Amino acid sequence: MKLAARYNRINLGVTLGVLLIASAAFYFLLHRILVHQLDEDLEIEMVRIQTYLAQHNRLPDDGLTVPDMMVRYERTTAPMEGERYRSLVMHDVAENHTNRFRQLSFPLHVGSAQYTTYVSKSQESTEATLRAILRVAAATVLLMLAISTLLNRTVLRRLWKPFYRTLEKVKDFQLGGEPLSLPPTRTDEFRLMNNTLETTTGKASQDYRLLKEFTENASHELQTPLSIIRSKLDLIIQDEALTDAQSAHVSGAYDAVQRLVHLNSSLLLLAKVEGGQFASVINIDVETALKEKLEAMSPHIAAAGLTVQSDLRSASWSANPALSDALLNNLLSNAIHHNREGGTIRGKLRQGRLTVINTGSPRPLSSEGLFTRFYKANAESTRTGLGLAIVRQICEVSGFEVAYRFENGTHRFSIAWTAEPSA
Amino acid sequence: MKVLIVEDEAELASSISQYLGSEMATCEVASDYPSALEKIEVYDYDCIVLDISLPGGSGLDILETLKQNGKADGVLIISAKASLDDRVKGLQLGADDYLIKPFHLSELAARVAAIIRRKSFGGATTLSFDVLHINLGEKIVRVEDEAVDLTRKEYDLLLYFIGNKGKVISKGAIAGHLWAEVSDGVANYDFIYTHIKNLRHKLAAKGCPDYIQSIYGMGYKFRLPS
Repeated sequence: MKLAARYNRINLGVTLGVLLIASAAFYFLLHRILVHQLDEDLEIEMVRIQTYLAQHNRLPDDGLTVPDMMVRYERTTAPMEGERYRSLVMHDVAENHTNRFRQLSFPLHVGSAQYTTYVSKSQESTEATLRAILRVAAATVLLMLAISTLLNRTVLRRLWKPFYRTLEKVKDFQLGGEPLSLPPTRTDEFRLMNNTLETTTGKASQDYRLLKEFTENASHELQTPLSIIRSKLDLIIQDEALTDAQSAHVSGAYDAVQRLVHLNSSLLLLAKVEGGQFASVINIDVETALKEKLEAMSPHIAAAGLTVQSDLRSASWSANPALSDALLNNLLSNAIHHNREGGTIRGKLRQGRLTVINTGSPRPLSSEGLFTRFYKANAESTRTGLGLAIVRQICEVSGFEVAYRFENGTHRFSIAWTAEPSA
Repeated sequence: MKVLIVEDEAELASSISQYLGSEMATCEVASDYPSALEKIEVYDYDCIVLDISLPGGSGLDILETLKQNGKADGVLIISAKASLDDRVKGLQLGADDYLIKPFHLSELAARVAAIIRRKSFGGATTLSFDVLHINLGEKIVRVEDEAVDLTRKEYDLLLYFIGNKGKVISKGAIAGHLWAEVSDGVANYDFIYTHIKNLRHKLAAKGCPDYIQSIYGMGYKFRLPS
């Protein structure tokens, strides 16, 4: 739930509660005041009657009664003590229907006769006043609720705008890309948030850049010693007096250097791809590129005893030429090296999708780990474990989707891209 | 043949000069920018092996000076940087070739030989080795007068061998030369054997002596049969 909606809900609930309680209190208070006023009127009437009785020593005539008062005398043998106020429903003779009345009863002594006097006054007008007041109060409450909801909606939305703008920017933020630049805001909290975000991402970017530079520099620095080792090996094998055992040692050293060279160039490629050093993009005929690549790899494929089945149709993608080449290279070389003797490689190309299917290990590979760096399906592999990481990284910067599936004992790697309508 | 090696890493410079020096050329070494500049102003070289990052300056500046002075020395740039920009810049400044570290000495030698051939004979010409005559312009190989029908890979291989005559070339170097991009990872170089076998057979069929000597477990050596 949105913060604003949540706030609105709480706000609405509390406001409603407070208003209800206030209305109830208001109602009772008002009721009491009005009743009290009625009671005072009744008391005045009582005093008038008592005064009349004291002066004339008889009960007043009906004609003397105040118009909206009803006075009734009831002879009694057991006179009441003191006065009593009460509310009751009675038949209103004047209006000919039942009504709520306020009644004051008090004892009267006319000579020896005992009376209980009932003075009643209709509460109708009082209640009408109350109802009117309550209606106004209810209308005010509703109006206030409506206005506050509306205000919350528009004002809150406007107030929170910088927050959503910042969120949008942060979502698009990429390490190694443009530095995060957030729109200015006058709200202190948002300004604080923006400043903090800018500082944190700035620092992360800087660390990332340093790390990348480090990788790149380290790779470059490694090239020269590797060159020296390799050149020395090249010189050692010129010696005709080398024994077979020495030759075997040198051969082992050659292979290790080759692996290091490959590892190093893979790391360098990854660092450069991440660093966006392959920005220029052109339209590439994937079918031709793939055919050339398969041709170039044919000695490796033949040496591994593999057969290739290709089902290629014309397709193209937009990518950096060097990356496109590295992508196909790593994808195919993965299919060759993780195959089995006498296995197959099937390439299927359609516009928007390239699938490379190879036989190999009978068990599915971890599709999670597969594309991470230095992933190795079997521990003794002499491969760098960077091939598929490179594939994924290239796909990422080129806007392609790479996926792995294990189906019918085959490993399927597919790359999907958005085909351009013109192609 | 005179080759200048401009390289600040003494060990690498000595390897190169030893490899090139033993068969094909006299080598001189300049280990920093000023001494390299001094040497190219005073002497003419058939080929300069030029490292880009040097103490005291950039190899590219040396290349520029060289071209400004109107020198015709061939230039092979060797660099630790594989970036396309560097390569394009080097070649635009007039370098003849560009090789990325770490390279095999045999690769370097083959490229230096190719540059020297181009420079000293003014382009299309014939390269001879014993009874082999190769028309570099038309890419035709003849044994005496008889043409040998070679595939492109076999032709490449032959030139590579001749550029490294008398040297043992490792299988990895050959694989790297012929299939640069895919020879990484596992060291399975068995497939080069097929190409060498075919080349041998084709040459032998025209009555050519067997120049290709297998060095057990290591590689091959192209030489006149003793």
